[in-house]
This record gives sequence, C-alpha cells and structure tokens, in this order.
Amino acid sequence: MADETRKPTPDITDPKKDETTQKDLPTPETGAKEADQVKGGIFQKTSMDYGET
Amino acid sequence: MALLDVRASRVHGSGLFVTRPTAAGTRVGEYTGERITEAEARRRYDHTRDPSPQTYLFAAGDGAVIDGLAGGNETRFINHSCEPNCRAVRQAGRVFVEVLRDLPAGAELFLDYALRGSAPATADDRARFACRCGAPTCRGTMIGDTG
Repeated sequence: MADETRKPTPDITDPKKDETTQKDLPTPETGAKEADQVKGGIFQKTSMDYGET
Repeated sequence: MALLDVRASRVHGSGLFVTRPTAAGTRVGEYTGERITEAEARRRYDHTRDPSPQTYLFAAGDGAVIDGLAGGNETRFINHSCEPNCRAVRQAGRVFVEVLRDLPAGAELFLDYALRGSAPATADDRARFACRCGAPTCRGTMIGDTG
C-alpha cells in the first residue's frame, strides 16, 4: 500500500528556476485588468447594410 | 391588436409572430437594446464556452453592438432560419426588421442570423450553434459563411 502521508519536497535549491517562473507571471494588477476586459469569444447577428442615410 | 406576438415556436423556444396579414417590405420593428462595444460584449458573454449558446447581440456597425437582452424589445425573440421571411437592415447605426414576402396572419418571423464570431468559427462553434430550421437549404448552423 502506498504511503499517502508522504508528500514530495519542493525543489527550492535551484535559484535560476525560480527566476524564470517569476518573470513569466503577470503582475496581479495586469492579470485582473485583462480578465475584466476580455471574458471570451462572442457571436453577433449580422445584417444587410443599407449605409448611412 | 398589436402586430407582433411572442409565443411558443415550433423551431426553438419562444418565437415572434405576426397577428395579421403583413405585406412584403413592411418594417415590423427595430432591433433594440443597450448599445455597447465589442469589448463590453466580450466582458458580458462567452459563447465559446457555452454548450448551447444563445446570442442576443446584433452588430450595429463601427464596432457597436446592440445587446437585445439589456432593454431589448420583442424582436429579440425572432428565431433563425436558413430560408428566412425577414431581413435585418442596418441604417444609420440602427437595425430594422423588414418582411421579405407577403405573410399570412399567424406566421412566425425568421431571420438568417448569419452569425459572425470575434474569431474565425471552429467546427465546434458551428456544431454548438446548430440550426434546427429544417429548410431544404439548411446549412446546419446559424453561423454565416463569413463567421
């Protein structure tokens, strides 16, 4: 039977790995702003265009 | 009696019907609702993640979108058909619904939605916006050729 109480120890010995990860993450402020602006894809009905009259 | 009546449709959910004979060329109403930007529409809705999406958005030109769910009138209940008896006419940034041929009293109104996505439609999008109109020329989806 597997020992479920044992958890893997996080690798915190490689400073280069940590640096790369941090660089790729957006700041909380930027991420929140983008999520608020664009939720997803939309579909719109379209029509004939008679132009501006 | 009012010309338009919302009631159960044989095609999908509720539909919009004329209560008396209506001549070709008649403008039965304006597609109304809140005028918003595409960005605002994308903030409100995500049709790409909805398994059975419905859209009440109508392109009004110049990036403006009419959201029929926000303050819209009965024209938002017009169902889609690949062989419609109405057309939507955009004029001066507004959208009007015009009857294409003489209709008897009790006829359900249909538009070809010709849906257009914010990104090119995928096969999955076409399937989720499946058309149930049953017309001989049905293309199987409410998404238009340029969708």
